[in-house]
Amino acid sequence: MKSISKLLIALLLSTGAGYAQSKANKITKVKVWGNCGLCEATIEKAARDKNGTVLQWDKVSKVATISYNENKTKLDDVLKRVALAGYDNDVYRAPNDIYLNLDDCCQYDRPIKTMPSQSSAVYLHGDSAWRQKATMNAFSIILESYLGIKEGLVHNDASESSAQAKILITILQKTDHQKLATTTVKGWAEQGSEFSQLVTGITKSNDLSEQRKMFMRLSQQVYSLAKLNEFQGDLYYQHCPMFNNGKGANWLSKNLAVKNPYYGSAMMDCGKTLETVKGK
Amino acid sequence: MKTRIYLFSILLFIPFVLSTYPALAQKLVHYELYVKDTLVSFAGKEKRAIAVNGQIPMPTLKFKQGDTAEIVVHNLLEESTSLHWHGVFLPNKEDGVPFLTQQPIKPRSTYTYRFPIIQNGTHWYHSHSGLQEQIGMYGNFILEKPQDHADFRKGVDDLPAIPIVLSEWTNLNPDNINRMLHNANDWSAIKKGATQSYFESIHAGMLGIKLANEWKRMNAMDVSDVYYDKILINGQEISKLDTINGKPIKAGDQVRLRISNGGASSYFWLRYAGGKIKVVASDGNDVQPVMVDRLLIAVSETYDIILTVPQNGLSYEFSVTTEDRTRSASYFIGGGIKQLISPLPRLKYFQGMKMMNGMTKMNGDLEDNGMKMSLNQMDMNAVMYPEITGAEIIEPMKPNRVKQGENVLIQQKETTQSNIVTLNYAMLKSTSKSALPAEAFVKNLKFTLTGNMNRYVWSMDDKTISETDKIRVKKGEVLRITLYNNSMMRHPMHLHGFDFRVINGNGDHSPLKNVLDIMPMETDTIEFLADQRGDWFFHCHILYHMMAGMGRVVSVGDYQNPNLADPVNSYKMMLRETDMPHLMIQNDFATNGNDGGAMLQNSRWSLSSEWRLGYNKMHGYEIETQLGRYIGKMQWFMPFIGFDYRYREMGIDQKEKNLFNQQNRKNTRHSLSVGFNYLLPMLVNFQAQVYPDGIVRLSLIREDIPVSKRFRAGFMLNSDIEYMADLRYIVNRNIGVRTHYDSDMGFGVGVSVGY
Repeated sequence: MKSISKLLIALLLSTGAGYAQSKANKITKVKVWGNCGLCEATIEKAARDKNGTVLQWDKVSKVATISYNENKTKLDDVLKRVALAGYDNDVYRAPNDIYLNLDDCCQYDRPIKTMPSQSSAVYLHGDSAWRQKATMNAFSIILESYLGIKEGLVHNDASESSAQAKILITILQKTDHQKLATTTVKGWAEQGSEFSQLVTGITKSNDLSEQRKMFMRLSQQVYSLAKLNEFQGDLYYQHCPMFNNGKGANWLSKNLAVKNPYYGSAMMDCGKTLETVKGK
Repeated sequence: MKTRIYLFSILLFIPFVLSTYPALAQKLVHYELYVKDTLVSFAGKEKRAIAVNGQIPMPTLKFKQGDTAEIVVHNLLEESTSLHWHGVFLPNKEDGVPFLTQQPIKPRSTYTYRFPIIQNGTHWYHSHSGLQEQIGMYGNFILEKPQDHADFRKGVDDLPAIPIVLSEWTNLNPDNINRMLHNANDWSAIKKGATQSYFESIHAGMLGIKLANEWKRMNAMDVSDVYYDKILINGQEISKLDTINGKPIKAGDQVRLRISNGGASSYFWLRYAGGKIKVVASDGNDVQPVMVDRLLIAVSETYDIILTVPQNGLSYEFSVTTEDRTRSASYFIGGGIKQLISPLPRLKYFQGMKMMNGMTKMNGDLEDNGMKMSLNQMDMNAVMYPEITGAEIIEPMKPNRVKQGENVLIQQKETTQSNIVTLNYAMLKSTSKSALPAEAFVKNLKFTLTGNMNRYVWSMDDKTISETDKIRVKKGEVLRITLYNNSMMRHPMHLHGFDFRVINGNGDHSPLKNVLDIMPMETDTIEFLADQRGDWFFHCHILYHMMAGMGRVVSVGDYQNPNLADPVNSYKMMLRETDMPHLMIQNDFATNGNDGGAMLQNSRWSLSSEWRLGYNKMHGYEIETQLGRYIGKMQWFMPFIGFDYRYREMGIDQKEKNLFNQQNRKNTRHSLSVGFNYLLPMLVNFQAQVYPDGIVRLSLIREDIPVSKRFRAGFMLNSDIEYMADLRYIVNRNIGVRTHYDSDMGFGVGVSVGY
């Protein structure tokens, strides 16, 4: 017993000595952008590590004072962690998605702005969408809105698909039905009324599974219209083998890569392309 | 001498080169490679590695289509070596597979490879001997397209190009990794946080699924087997590119990366912080440019991608992350502040476990529920990707917002970005026609890729390479191979010497590749014209799968290989290397005795010995040895013959009769036996044994029950009314603290040491 306690003491002493020896602390000042007290807490927490690194951030001057053990911690790693928590600094710029997920009060002015082209997804909404579409032919407008509804379903977002369906209804109402039927959209006379019913159905429902059932029938209609009418680029007629109790269901997409609107994120890549409908 | 070789090579190859590429004059490009043992410290510790010309990766070798390559290898190692030119068309004798296309390059000897370069594209080279590829023997092999080439692409082939070889580093000796894999050692899983123990299952509310998986005899699932300490891009974890040809990179500049995955067993996610990635070639073959957000590069594949620097003042991260997302490396492109990309979130293992459970039948086969899966289009692992299917714990959704300062309208879908475009094989379209001659005879072959995770046996049609003959094909025939993956891991299948067409619906423009990654449950078809004589290796390029025997040899026409005086015996040597036995020893030094075992196994045979050695006669000494052969695809059944030796004086547990009222003298006994092991649902091993004197012994055994991340439990009971239960805490790869109760030896605490 005695020897064990001696051993323990020796062990304690030696680690203590080791600790004192490796305490080669260095203090550096680095600029870290941010706004408020909440930012301060996030930044300081992100910098901490098991080697005793401490960061103190001043929200007025935006200067971070970092004290760290030069032998064990690399300053670069500390600043990387701070950037990955959402805060731009002298060495690293935070990923855009992490920055955008920061709390509202933490949305500081970034020292280097993001170029618009880098944003991952830009959606068109409401009136501006309608104006942009004024130059397209009638079927292409219908097609665009249809793809918008599909996008909503892919994202499991019933309100998005419903909103896109509303835009389509507005367009259909603004356009003279008779005119669509006689001149612009081939096949509209036969399918127009059921088409409008389905789209209205989607606007009224906020239930994804109901929307998907209607979307299945809508897809058949748009497919047959696409065969008859002019549009730009190719369309892919794609198939999900599981929907509709295993009977399968189809949809149209501008992309060859499958994004399944019937199951959304649960089965995102499930499905295959049946046919390429060439643009005219 | 040198000029003579030069002349000789010209004479030798002129007819060939002229017929394939007449526009260029012959040029001999000569490299000298010195292969030498070295010490490196990639991950904090000094470890053995192999460097060529003093560097890891091996030097980048560059040629132009039309050149003749002459590569002299000086082997300064204490072991033999070889170099394989991955994806390169060449005469079979230059292919660099020891015992198949040449004799191994012996220690302290020199060997010369010489072949004409008749293609262009991004390729790489590596050792094909043992596990040398894991410890440094990989390098870029770049074949440039001449400017006057008919297929020269403006905006692609005239861009600055950087050769990049990706690899992984582990501080463990690769031989140990190989052994650990075969012995189902889960140290890697512990390091990766992927043990999926009972405790973790309860915590995630998934215990039911865990038990259902064990009922189907499945251990923990993962997307990769080995835990690595570092990921390397051209030998570095973090590096940057801020100038091209001496000029600083500015906004709008494009750079082409020629990327080879030289990792021994890791797939890597490739992502770029500066926007979309333009894919322009795969396995050295041009494809029509396709824009993606990310791609997964399979082991040994190559991809050429083009990245654009969108903005001045920022250096954009090109990120390389292992498929299991435990490690990554970064390459920063452009000058200025480093723009990071969000790290890939941790895999949702329990979701993967659930999916695997749904797809596995009781007999171990996979069932795709009627979905025809192929060409990497549907990644079943996506159920585990939080960035696609949402975080495991759903956090409250944040409102969409428009940032004034940012001047961008962004639709924020909480953490989910389901509009991520990931490259798959259906998106690859060859720039040139790849159709094969219609008049050629087509030989159809079908293979099912099979494997046994528990014993780490990998095979095709349940047979390892050493259990089959070569596939014989006549020169000029088309070989069409349909592969179905019925195993639980993906396999990058690589063909030596040829590019094959991947039948992906793009008809005449089906892409040409030499590696096909095939996911579990997928079916893919490849075809190629067998117009080059020789023995060509077709194998899974995961090093440890190949070494377990997952491959075949395609033998085209009659080929007299001048390197092999005795091809039959050489081939036997090669087969032997793919089925080396591996050893495991474990012993628990406990207060009540020693408890341990040793095993020597290969893909079918098992020689194992178990011992319980007490410290006195009452506890007794007991050694049981078994020689058995695993039967069947899943290897659940193993008949064996055994030999038992035991000696003990009657002690604490005096049972002389077994359950069947048979007299069983334990005091001194040495006896032969025959019996079998059968793995029951819940991973319980049932053992039945009969001795010459008619005594029967039945046992139920389960070891390594994953109670929590580091606690393992086990039990044994048998019809001699002996029983044992133990609990072990895993301290590190080799050492555990174990407590057990044994009916013979009583209660004990000890340290268990394994090799």
